[in-house]
Amino acid sequence: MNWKKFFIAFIAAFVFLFAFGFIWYGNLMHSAHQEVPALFRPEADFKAHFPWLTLGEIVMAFFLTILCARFVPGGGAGSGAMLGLLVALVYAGVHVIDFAVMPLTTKILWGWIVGALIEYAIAGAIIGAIYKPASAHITFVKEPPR
Amino acid sequence: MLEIAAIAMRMGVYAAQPFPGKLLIYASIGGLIEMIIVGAIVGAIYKPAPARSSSQ
Repeated sequence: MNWKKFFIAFIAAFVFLFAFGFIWYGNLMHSAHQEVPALFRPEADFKAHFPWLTLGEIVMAFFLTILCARFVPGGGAGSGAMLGLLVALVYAGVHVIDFAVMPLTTKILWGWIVGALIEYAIAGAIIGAIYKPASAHITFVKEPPR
Repeated sequence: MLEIAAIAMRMGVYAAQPFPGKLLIYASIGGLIEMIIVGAIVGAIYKPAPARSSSQ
């Protein structure tokens, strides 16, 4: 594992996830969330629980970086984006289940799904573009003669 | 690993929605057990197709 590149990719992913979450979920979807105010914490209560949100973003960025480093060892923005997209599709399933058990509006459901697809595809691309395995760990396989 | 990232997503939901902390813990433990077992089942069943041999 190339820890220096890993750490830079993790920080970049965290900054992006945090900024995207603030813009998409906090601002663009604010009015949609206000349609069901009973489902969301009041402003003061949300501020009191803000460290949980920050911790959640840190953990998500960390494990998305681990997933990319482990399953896209060659790096690359395109491969990272594809892995991010697959992770987002798993989360889309979670959001559909949330929609089944909570009185969310379809606008919120689609907002969360589309947001997750964009967010994780870009975060994966960022990680894939930054993270490169340490050169000592790259294995070259000699092709057999044809 | 995917589920640990999902637990992190639940932390964000917990910050925004008025759930009790107990629900976050139960959902996280349940999700972790669920995904480990599902991953093991899929890993045990799924095998990649054998490489095709082309004879010309």
